[in-house]
Amino acid sequence: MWRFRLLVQLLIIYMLWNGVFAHTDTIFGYSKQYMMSYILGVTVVSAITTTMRTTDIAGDVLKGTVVNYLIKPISFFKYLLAKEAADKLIHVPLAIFEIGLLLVFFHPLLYIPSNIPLYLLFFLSVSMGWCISFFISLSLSFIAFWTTEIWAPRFIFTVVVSFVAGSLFPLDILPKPLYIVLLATPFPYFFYAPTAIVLGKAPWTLLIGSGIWLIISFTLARFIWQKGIKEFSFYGI
Amino acid sequence: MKHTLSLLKLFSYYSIKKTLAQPLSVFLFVVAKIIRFALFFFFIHYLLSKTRMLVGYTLTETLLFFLTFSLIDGIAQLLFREVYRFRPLVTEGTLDLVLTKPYHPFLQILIGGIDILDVVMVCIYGVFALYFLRQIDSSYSLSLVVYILLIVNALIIAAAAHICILALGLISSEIDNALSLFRDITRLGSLPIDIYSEPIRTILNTVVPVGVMMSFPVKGYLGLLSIQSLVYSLLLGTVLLWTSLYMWRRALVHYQSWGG
Amino acid sequence: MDHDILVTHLTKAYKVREVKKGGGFMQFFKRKYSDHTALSDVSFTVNKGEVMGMVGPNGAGKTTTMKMLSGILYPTSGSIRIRGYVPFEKKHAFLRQISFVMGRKNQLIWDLPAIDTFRLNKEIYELDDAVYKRSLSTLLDFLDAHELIHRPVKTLSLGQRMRLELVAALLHNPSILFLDEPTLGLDIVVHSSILRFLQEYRREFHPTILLSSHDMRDVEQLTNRLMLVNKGKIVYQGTLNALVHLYGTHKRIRVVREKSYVLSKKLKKLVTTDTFPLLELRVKRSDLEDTVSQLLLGGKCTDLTVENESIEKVIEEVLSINSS
Repeated sequence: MWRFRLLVQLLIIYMLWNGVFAHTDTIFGYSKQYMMSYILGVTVVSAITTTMRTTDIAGDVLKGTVVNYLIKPISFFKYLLAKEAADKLIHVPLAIFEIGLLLVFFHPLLYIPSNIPLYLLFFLSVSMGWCISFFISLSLSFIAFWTTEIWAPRFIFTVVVSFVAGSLFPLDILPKPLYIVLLATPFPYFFYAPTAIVLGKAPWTLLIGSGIWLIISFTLARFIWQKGIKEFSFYGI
Repeated sequence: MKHTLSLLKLFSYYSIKKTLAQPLSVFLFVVAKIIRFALFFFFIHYLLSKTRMLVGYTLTETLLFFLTFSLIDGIAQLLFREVYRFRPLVTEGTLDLVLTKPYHPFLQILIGGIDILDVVMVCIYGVFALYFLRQIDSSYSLSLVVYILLIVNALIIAAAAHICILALGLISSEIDNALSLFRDITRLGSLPIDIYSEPIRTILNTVVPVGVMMSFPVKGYLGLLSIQSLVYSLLLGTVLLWTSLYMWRRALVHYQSWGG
Repeated sequence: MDHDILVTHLTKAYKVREVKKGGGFMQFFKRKYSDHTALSDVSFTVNKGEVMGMVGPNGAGKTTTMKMLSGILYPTSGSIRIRGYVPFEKKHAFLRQISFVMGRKNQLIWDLPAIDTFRLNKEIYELDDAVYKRSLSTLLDFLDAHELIHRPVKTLSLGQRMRLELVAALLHNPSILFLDEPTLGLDIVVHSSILRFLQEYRREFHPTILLSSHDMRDVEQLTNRLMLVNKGKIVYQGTLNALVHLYGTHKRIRVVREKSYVLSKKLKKLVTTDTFPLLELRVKRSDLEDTVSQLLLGGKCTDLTVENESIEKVIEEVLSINSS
């Protein structure tokens, strides 16, 4: 069901850009080819970096079942990363399949870069993007240690991410000041950064930004987790 | 009739009273929905301010399509919120107690659960829609009437969909997927359906009447709808509603109840 | 005879999805359905003002019967007429006269105080202010529930909730009541008070009641007649006394004896309880005279009583005969 929702969103945004290009050849300096490649590319990237299982954690904390994780001998974070990886094994191929369908039906002209080192940078960026997204999402779930209001903040987070992480449009089409402010947040590094890099945009600012946020997000998640389990009263049990 | 209306008023009153029991939650969700609306609104605004046109529609017209969709979707959620709570009603057996009461069950299970959150959002969408309606010079005198008529028609189609979902709930109780399916498909109408290429566009005007629901009101307002299309939409709405009511009656015959 | 409820050849069959153990993946695609008959050719009547009990094991069809009589389920075949109405049509004139109480199921709005549900019911049944106020205060007096009505229902215990459920169900003074295990899960004190309340209510308003229960106190103290239901069929219909008379094959003898009393060997196998000075025996009706004379030969007894078999035991026997 979730996949259907993503498919619908992909369809809408693809058709939107398609429709917009019906009247002009370039928008914000980008050609139709580039834009369509961006949209499809960002869909693959978001399938890789979106974390789904971290939302369950909030529920586990509320119910008290998080205790089960604490008494197991493996590191909690490693356990979650493994669960995420397993999830990806299903969702990423599905996303690629959906894009395949789109390609078959609409034959968009795509810009596919042939520069091999670019793909290495892409791989690096996407891995960092996944981790940053994972740790930020985890930190958000951990607020369950302090309040039962977990669904509204999660909803707000999802809504904001869907815009400022670049899944609807390449972030650099925004006015320069706004773009720079966004680069200071972790969001562009979820979806926008890897896609922009593989499509040829100068990677160094984005990679450095990713690196910084990787460290920050990891520290944040760890800090909140440790504080949380210390103060937690294990209410649901 | 008077009795039905006063019952409906009471159901709504108690429903709102229940939601106000958790004011922080309500407030945060309102904030989230406003943010989502505002972000998409500004995105379309920003995009089209540079490109001027989307499949033949200007920026103002495109925004009107988006606002009309939000309005219809918002009112549908406002009216039919209780359908989201139908599954537990069935599985816990409480539905049986509803069926033995001397009022039509729809008063409770279809429209008995309005949410203050939705009231706020619909007001916001309404205000914006009104503003943009006035920005566009309507091409003929009855344009506003046609617009409102087709919005009501859209709500009738939405009602039919929700009634079918209730009927499904009686038989299988697995309706949450059906509900998200409905929401996702109608979201295709958030922009003028002319953006979709051919097979999809026809489907959205016939079998899955999202186009009829979401795009026709604005098209009618802009004078782009023929009389035939108008009649077709109203007929479609009536047929779908009648079909859904029939399905509900059939479902009652096959209803097996839970527990006991 | 004034039949309020007339049930003729009522049958209800379901299609139940078969889920085989170890059935494998394919069962998600090819669903197999089997027929399950919940009620088979059931016929009975209930007269105006009468209380009819339904007793039987779980899954016997008692709740299915009540749900069909109240219009919730559609009969597969047969007919039901309640005061001339067909329940499934759910005519409002019919629904206004009935009330359905299911033990452990709430009609009270969970997050709000009970008084809100009462006001809602006032509107639903179109009671005017005077009637509503009087009915409410009478019921709250009967059930001693005045202080409970302003607290959110979710904060109340099961017993308190049940009392308020009864208030909500009886507010419109229904003349036909369906009570499906209304005392299920209640502690002894609350159970007794509800039983007393139902007896009072009956004395005052004479409703026609169909009551299903596992508890023999409910059956003994409330019902005029009862039905024993097993595997979808009625195996007995009539009064409690007649049931015991017809099927009570045994009698119980209670003896209070002195220290010097000696029990004859022949009687030892009939003993069910032997704790000095009490002695209890279970004996076939046909052997009663002989057994009593033998007992008296054993020595001095300060008390000897002969009683009917307990109702539970009789019902158990009737049901087990009929399930083979």
